[in-house]
This record gives sequence, structure tokens and C-alpha cells, in this order.
Amino acid sequence: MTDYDGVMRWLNRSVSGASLAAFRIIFGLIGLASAIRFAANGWIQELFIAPPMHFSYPGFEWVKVWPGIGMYVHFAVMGLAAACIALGLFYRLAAAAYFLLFTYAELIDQTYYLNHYYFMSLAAFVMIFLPADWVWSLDNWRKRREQSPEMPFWPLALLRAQLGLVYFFAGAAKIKSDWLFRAEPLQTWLQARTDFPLIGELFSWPAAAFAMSWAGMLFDLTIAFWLLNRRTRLPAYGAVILFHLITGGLFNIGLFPWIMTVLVLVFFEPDWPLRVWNFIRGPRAAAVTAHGQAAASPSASALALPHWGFIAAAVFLSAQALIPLRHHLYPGNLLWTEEGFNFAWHVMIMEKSGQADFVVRNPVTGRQRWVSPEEVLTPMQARVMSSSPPMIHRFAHWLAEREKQAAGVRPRVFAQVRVSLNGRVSQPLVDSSVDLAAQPFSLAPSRWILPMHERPDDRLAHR
Amino acid sequence: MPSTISLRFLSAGVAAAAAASAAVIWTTACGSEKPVIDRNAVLRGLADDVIVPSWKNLESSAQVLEDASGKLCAGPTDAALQSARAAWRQSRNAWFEGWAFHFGPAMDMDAKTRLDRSPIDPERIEKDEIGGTHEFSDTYMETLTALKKGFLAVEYVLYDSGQPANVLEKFTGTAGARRCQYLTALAKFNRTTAASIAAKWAPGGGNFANELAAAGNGSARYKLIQNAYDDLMNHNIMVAQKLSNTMLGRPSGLRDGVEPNPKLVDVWRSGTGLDDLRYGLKGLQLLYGGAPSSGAPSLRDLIAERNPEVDKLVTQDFAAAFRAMDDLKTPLHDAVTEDKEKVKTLYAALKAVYTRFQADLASLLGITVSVLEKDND
Repeated sequence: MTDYDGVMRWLNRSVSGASLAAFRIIFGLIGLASAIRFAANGWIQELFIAPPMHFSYPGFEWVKVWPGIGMYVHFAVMGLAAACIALGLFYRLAAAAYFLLFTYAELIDQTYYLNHYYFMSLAAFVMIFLPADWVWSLDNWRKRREQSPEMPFWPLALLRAQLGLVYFFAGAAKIKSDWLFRAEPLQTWLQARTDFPLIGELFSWPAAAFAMSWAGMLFDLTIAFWLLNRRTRLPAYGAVILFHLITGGLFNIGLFPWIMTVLVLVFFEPDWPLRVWNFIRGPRAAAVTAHGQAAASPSASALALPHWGFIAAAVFLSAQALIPLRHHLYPGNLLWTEEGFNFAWHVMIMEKSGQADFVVRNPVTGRQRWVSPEEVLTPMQARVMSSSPPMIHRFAHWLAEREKQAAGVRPRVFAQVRVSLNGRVSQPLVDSSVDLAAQPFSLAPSRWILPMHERPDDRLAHR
Repeated sequence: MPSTISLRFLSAGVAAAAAASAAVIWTTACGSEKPVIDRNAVLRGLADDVIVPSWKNLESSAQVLEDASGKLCAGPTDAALQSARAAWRQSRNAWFEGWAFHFGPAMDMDAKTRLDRSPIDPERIEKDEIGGTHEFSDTYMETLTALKKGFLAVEYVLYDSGQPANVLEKFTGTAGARRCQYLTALAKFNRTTAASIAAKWAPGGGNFANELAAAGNGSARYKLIQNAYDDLMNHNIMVAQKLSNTMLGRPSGLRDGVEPNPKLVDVWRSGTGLDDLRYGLKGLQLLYGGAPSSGAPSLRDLIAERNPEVDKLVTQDFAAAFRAMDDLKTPLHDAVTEDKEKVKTLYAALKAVYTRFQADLASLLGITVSVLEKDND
């Protein structure tokens, strides 16, 4: 027997399908709540329809806001797909639709990039391939399907790996001098939250920021391992709840803490929902299985992970492990250049503010004028763009294109940008002598980003 | 057994890391002092010692303007006109110095539109108001379009005819009486608006001063301290931007790459555009440094505690901007065409202040864009 056979047997061993079904239901409900929240808060209008331009991702310029009421329809269908995922109705179609619709919305504008949106996209993609409607689904009723309440272990393994990668790389991203040795940006944020109930007073102490920085790094790096181990799982989950309660209370991070708190339940025993249910019903009630009947364990071999599936999952997870590391291919401080920053679980590790001004110069007449981002962008776009080199680059191209359409000549576009990172004195971010509109979009390092210089004052005087 | 070993290995690793963390925290963090500047105390000092007096100052200066307008109408002499003009400028100085505090009640009342809409519509003022027969009641002034009231309408009446003799000429006869009624109604409207905002800040009125000072500690308006700082700083980043980009950048043509246009200086009729800039900047300086006589900590103390280098640079930026203003010897609307180099220097200096607010102060205070509540991570 080879190691590979052993791994495959381990992945295909039969376990309760209840945990995966619970994951599907929770994921679907979160997706539904998220779509409703966007509509109810007016964000579809404010974030997608109102802005005159959007910061597309390189290669995804074709992803545009739909005309008319298209975005409302988009979110309505997305919500419907999420509801179908929760119900297990036309499950695979719903999962595919949700993945495409959610990812499409996410790709419209870099301004709105959030790590938990990225996670939702990845999880939705993974779910397309999981037999998550095997238990507790309307598809069973619709298809008159008589299947086992048990299923192979591999779907749970895949989800655990996905979640584990998120935490691990979020921890790895914190191994930075700013985070560990300046306790930034936590120090800035905590000192602004001394009104936090009960423990707020502690936040004014630098030691609190240092302790939380280090604890946060250790938590993220190791939590998946603690959750994997049966003996440490329960206290680890307590730590998960505490961690996300504190971060959710301290920072405006929307649904993220709640998403992670409920989804990490996938690390528990595969029959955890049944155990909880039986616990709630009391010891005298008959034990309930995923079918609501006495336990049965016919083979679920039809769901076994095929060899090609193993290879595909390995490739997918390897990519997940490599993509967050791609920033090492770029020179300079990642937080400064932001090259390779997104899609890498760099969660809340910088406080960055910038002021950007653009010079649009007609190459024929030599006439030039200044453009403030605030004149054309929404406040949120202007704020995020003003400290992000990739978005500054994108905006310069957009300005050039707009000017070309108005004046018939593609202008040269220069930017004067000063940025403060994690409490440092602001510095110029880009080379103001470079025509940014002439710089192509590529994966190569952007030479027009100026290096960040460490000043002794920033290190010593900051506290 | 393997899982027990790996668990032990992991536990040992984490224990070692935790010990290392404790050592780092002990040596790095405990060497730092606990910040002594209380953020609520900064807000309290700002509210009580700077903002409330600022609105009271506007109210009293508006009263002086109203009185001076009445005296001009009672006896249109050159001295009375000069007195009214001085009172108008004094009141406008108070308005611009208080611009930094046009959040909260001023924003709720849309004070900018009520008192400082630009440009105004002289043609309609002459035709509809001075040429009309209606009464300038309080209700009428409330509903009057912003194009025909506020500081710039007062300036129009006091300055538009040029030489004092020509202005005084228009204050005589039946038409002059009508012009007087309009002027006093404008001055009264300015005063009542200022009084109403001042009342909202005062303890006896809306007590917004306390709302600000108690941010995060019982304030209904600001549930978190940070909400108050966001409001304060987002507003003043906008003020700093307007001072450089709009009020100087536009008339000088430096923003748009066009020839200067003196008439884009709001108060070109009185030739006092530089005072608008100067007092606007003074307001920002007051916001930052607090009242000189106040014993309360200021925003400056807070910034200096976090990064003294930033405080040093902010102070230098203010000084450079005031110096550049002092260097301008001609009225701003003339300087934009006649003294371009000095205007350029002033523009750069004001922009540096704006940049310092937007980049350095916002970063040190962890300011978020408050116009849109959206998730972050």
C-alpha cells in the first residue's frame, strides 16, 4: 500500500454528512444576508451605480456595472442563488451561479476589495464541486433520492484546508516589523477606541497593542492546528469566538467575524450538528442522524474522491498557498507598494492615508491642469486610491482616456502623491516625473513607485 | 500517537513564541509611556475653549454689522460706510475662522448655503429685492434664495458701486431707503443664523459642545470617540482642500492650467480675498493648536505625543503658509494676475497644509471616510 492509497482511503472514509450540510446552510444564509444587506444599505447604488468610473482589475476590464437596473437584478439573483444553496435546491447550479455573480461583483472595483469577499468567492467555488446537497436538502426530495446520511470525508478536508490557509496566511502576513515591533496599526486603532466597553481603558497602554499584535499573529498562525486536534478543539473554538467578538466589536468589519465564527465549525466532528441537536433535545429523545432516523450506513462510494479530483484539489490548494507569497517577487515594502497585496490574506495590517493630485498635460499644446480625485471619484474611491499604487496607475489611465475622448489627444498624466503608512511621516509614493498613463499594466514590478524610507524619528518617537 | 507528538510539538512551539512575545512586549512596549492625552479632554477643550467662543464671536460680530448697517441707513456718511464695511469684514473673518467648526449644527442648518453661497446674483438682487416692494420679514428672508443673501450679498450692497461716494449715493432717496431695508435685513439674517448655531452649541441650548466632548461616553451624536474625530477631521480636510484648490487654485488658474480669473475670488468687490484665506487657515490652526489660553490638551498635543516629527512639520507648514500670505502685498484678485510667483508660493504652501491634514494627521488619528459606512478588513 502506498502513501497515496492511504491518503485516498483517509479522504474517502465514511463520515456523517451533517457537518457539510450545516456548512452549506450557514454559507447560503450568509450569502443571502449579505445580498439583502447590500440592497438595504443602498450600497448597490452608492458603490456600483453612482461612481463615474471603476477601478477594474488588470485583465478584468470587461467586468462592468450592468446598465439600468442590472445591478439590482444581479444582487437579487445572487440572493436567490444563496437561498437555493441554503435550501439545497438545484444546489450545484445555485453554487455555480452564486460564485459567478459574487465574484463578478467583487471584480468590478478594486476599491471594495475585502479579504472576506475573496474568501466567499473561493468557498463558493469550492462548493460547486462538493456534494453538499447530499444531506438535508430539497434536492433529495426533488430527485426522490434515497441516499446515505454518510459521505466521504474529503469535502470537509477541503473546506478545513481552505479555512486553515486563510488563518495561516493571515498570521504569516503579521510577521512584519510594523506589526510586531511597532504594534502598528493596532496602536493607532486601539488608542482611538478607549471607549470600548470594560477593557477600553487598557487600550491606551502601548503594551496592550503589543500584546494584541503578538497574540493575533500567534492566533492566526496556529488556530487551524488547535481546531484540528480533538483535545484542543473546544478551547480553541472559545478562542475563535473571543477573537472575533473583540475584533468585530473594535473594528468596522461587517459580517467577517460572524462568517468565520460559524464556518470554522467545520473543524468539529462531522456529526456535530446531530450532537448539538440531540443535546438540545435531551437524553431521553431518540438519537437523530442526518436522516432524522436511526443510523444507517450504506456506502457513499458514489461520492468518493476520484484521482483527478485529488489532483485538482491539490493544484487548487497549492495555488492558494502560493498566491499569498507572490509579493516576495516584488521589491520594497509590501505595505507601501501594495504589489501582491490583495488576494493574500493581508488582513487589517496597515493604516495608510494619502493625498493624491494628478497633472493632465496635453502633449501638443503643453497646457496642463490639475485633477483632484475628489472631483471625479466617490469619497471612498478617492480615499482608497490615494494611497494605492495599482489604483493610482488605473486612475491615470482612466484620466488619459477621458481626456482623449474630450480633446482628441491622449495626454500625459503625472501624479503627486504623499502617503503616510502606519503613523510615519508622509513621503512621496510615486515618481511625479513619470507619465503614468504611458505605463502598461503588467505583473512586473512598477519602477515608478518610489521606495519608502525609514526615518529614525518614525521608529523612535512613535508610540 | 502522531497527533499527540504533533500537538506537543505545536504546544512547545507556541509556548516558545509566547515567551518570546512576552519578552518583546516587556522590553519594547513597557519602555513606552502610557499616552497622557485623553481624547475626550481634547474634544472638551476644543468645544468649550475654541468652538463655542468662535460661534459667539460670529454672533457678536454679526450684531456689530447689523448695528453698523442701521447707522449707515440712518446717516449715509463716508464714516458710516467705512464702519459698516469694517464690520462686514470683521464678521466675515469670524465666519472664516469658524469654518473649521462648520460640522454638527452648522452642517445640519446648512450654514454655508445660508450665509456664504457663491456666486450671488446681482441682477436679481437689483431687480427683485431692491427693485421690489415686499417686506423683508424674517419669514421672507428665511425663504429667500441663497443667491440673494449672505455675506456676499452684503458685500455687493456695500462695495459694488465702487468709490464710497457712489455707494453712498445709492443709499439716498426712496431707492436708497429700500436698499437700506435690504441691507439691514441681510445683516439681521446673518446675525440670527449665527445666534441660532451658537445656541445649539451652548449649554443652555442644544449643548452640542457636550455632545462632542462626550463622544463615546454617552453622546447621542457620536457613539464612539472615533466618530467625533472622523467628523472633525473629514470636515477639516475638506476645508484645507478648499483653501488651496478652490479658493486660490481656481482664481489663479493654477488648478486648471488657464489664465487667472480675478472674479473667481469670492470677495473681489471688496478686494479682501486674502483675508478669507488667512482666517480660514487661522481656523485650522485653532483646531490644531487649541485656544492659546486654554489649559486643555489640544489636537496638537495628541499628535505630538504620537509622532513629534509630524507635529513639527504641521507647525512649519502653517508658518510657511502665513509667511506666504504676508508676502502678498496686493489684494488677492490683483495678485493672481500681477504677482503670479508669490501666488504660486502661497498655493504650494496651502497645498502642503492640506496634504499634511489628509495624509499625516488622518493616518495618525486612524480617520475613516465617514460619508459611507462600509465594511473593512
